[in-house]
Amino acid sequence: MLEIRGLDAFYGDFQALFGVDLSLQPGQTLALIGANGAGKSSFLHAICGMTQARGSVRLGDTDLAALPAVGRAAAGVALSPEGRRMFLSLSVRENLLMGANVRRRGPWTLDRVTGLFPILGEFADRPAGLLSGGQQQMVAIGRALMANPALLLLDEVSLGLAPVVAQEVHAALAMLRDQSEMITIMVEQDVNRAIAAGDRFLCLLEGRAALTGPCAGADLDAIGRAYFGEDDT
Amino acid sequence: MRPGILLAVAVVALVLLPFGADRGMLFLASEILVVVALSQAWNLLAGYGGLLSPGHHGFVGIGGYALYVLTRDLPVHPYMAIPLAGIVTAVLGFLLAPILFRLREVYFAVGMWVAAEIFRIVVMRWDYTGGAAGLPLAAARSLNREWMGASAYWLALAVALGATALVWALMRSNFGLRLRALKDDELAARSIGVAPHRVRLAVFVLSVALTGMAGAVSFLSALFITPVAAFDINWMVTIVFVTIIGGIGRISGPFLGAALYFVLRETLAFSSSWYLVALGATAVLVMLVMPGGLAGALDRLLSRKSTMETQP
Amino acid sequence: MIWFETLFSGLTLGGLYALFGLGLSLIFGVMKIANIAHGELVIAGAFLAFAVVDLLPVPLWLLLPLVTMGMFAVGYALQSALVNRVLGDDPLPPLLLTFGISIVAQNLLVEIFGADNRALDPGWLATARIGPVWFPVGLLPLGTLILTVVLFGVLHLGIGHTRWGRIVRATSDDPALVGLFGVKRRRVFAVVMGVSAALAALAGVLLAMRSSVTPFSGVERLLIAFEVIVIGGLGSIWASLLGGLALGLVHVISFRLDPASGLLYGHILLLVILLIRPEGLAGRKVTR
Repeated sequence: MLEIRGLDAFYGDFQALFGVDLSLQPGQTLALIGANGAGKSSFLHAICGMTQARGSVRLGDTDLAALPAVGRAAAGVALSPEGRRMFLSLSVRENLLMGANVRRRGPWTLDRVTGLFPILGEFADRPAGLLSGGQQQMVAIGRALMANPALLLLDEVSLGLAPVVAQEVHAALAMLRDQSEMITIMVEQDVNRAIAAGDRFLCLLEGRAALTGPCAGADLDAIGRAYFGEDDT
Repeated sequence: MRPGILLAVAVVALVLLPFGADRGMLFLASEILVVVALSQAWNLLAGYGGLLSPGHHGFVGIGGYALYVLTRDLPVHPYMAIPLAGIVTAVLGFLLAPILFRLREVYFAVGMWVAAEIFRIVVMRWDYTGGAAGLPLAAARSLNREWMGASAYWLALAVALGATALVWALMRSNFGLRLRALKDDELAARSIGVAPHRVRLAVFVLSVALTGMAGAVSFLSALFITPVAAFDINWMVTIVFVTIIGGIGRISGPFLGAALYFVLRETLAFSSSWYLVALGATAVLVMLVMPGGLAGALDRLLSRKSTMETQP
Repeated sequence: MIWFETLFSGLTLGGLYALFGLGLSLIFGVMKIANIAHGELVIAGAFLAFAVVDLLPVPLWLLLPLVTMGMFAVGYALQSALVNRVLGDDPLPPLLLTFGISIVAQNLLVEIFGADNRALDPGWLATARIGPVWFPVGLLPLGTLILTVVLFGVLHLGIGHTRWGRIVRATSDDPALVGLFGVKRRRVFAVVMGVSAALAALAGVLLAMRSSVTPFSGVERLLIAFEVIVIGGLGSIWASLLGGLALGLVHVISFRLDPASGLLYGHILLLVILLIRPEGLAGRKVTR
């Protein structure tokens, strides 16, 4: 399970996250929501070791906070970053293989990823930079899956994608759910879609946890208020 | 004492130095001032302009040769030929700019270095410039022997202080503002109406003009010039060393760097290679532990002291 | 006939130049820094070879791998101990740092070995010739050229078609991201610098078999290496081979026609290339 206590994140002197707590069971998906600049990406970066952080982050028996980014990757944290960040001089296949670089055991192989996203098999030898935004998103997700992660972090899953393509990506992600013990944290702009895709949700507001709870039967009005930081009164 | 008064006292002392110094000391002082001027000129281009030139030794040589050729072929007094040497290098720089300014970063650097090499080879092969054998200073007769060392010193002082004053004034002007904006973020600078090409061209031409003048001053008292000495890559080594150690992009950098450079050179004079090892190691150390150089370290020290004073 | 010979010696000299450029281009491509100490790495390779043969008379086939491995270690150590500490957005600190390293290296070589000219005696290879009677070519220059092409091929395969190469290219593309894939970028940089130093050293040994060198010979080799990568173009290692061959041919032909010209026509070639094809003969267009 994932156990986060009092997580702060910093970019230089700027503090982006203030004491966030979170606890997820194996197999659960968290929908991480919040306005622009609320700290969603900072939260993911603090977990995977891309930014300075303080607080406790435990994944299973591993104390992630004590590890550098490289060590967290080996411990099973994988990120599909905002903006996709393809390795531009690598082909699609090579990008996917970079995910397998940590050599963790598990079900995900090149074949399974191209089974999930058939287009990637077709374009395996193309430079990743030549793909469309949606295809690059699939590469980014597939690349993260190739690590056989215990904790999958998906940043801005459908940002900048055409609605049809976003639907396709989410359909693939839905297939992942309930299939494994993998914990997933998903950042998604579209709150309705996020709630539909998650088991639990966490709404951030200005770097603090504003509201959290199960997705099933979530009160959308309350989420809306937490999202925009309006008083309950 | 106020810094202004301190500065004035220092300048007066420097001007009066020839009346209290022997020949050897004066010669060393002139050499130091030439290095300060050269480093100030290079710092203007690299530290403020962000253009790294490994080819400034070419302009040192051109400045020196301009002095020798102008005083040979024209009725110009050698002292008057020094600003003229600056004009010659400025014109040459201006003519080269269309080629070099198509290039950025490493390409610009390689282009500059190659230009300097071409200068050297052309001067070496050209009878007009005396070929590989070099040229004597034809106008040496018109120089007063007794005051020669002192005059060379004053010229070096004038060029060094002139270069410093120029950089100081430039950085306080609107032009300096544009230059800094350009170095920090070219795209942003363009968007507020800075014309990168013109700003860089102006800085480049000024820098090579100062370099040419310093080169001319440096070869004045030698009474003889050869391509090997004039276009020596060690000019470049000295300039870069002094600027790094002093603090790149800081106006006091060349002074502090030159001071340390000459202290090291004079104390380790028993072995030319050990002193260069020490210089190189110092440069490495500076880049590792204090990238702002001596000037940066001094700034930090002074600001820490002043914050301690203001805190009760 | 004489032109065949000129062509041949231009190509073999060009192969050596290409090898000077290869390591520099590798560093520039992966780390986006200009290694000013590259010329000294070439010369250090030559002097390491002198030191080895002074101590014990090892044959050439053993000398080359010894020097290569030794200089790999030197490059690796330099990168992890020094250069890695100043890598960042600003290209100036690594450049100035390697400038300092070059001055130290040059003068340490003077202190240890003296400033005299030295060369490596290739033994029977010096006079061995091969080929048809009507056009015998020196075995040594031919071997140098073949070795160069083989090294380019090996590096091409290594970078383009191995796991290591994939990691190097990914690190070059996005050094901040590769940590998430378990890649220690500083280690990648150190290995790349080691490879660059090894290639430079190999070039240095070949140079010392061809002509004499002094500890001060590095500066000119650095300039040639820069010219090679600018003439050839950045972005592909084959561009360095092309740049080296072009520069070698120009130097040999101009020496034949105008013996006192030195490197002049090579410099002019560079300026012409910069004017008409700034991305180099085989480089990708860089938009900046």
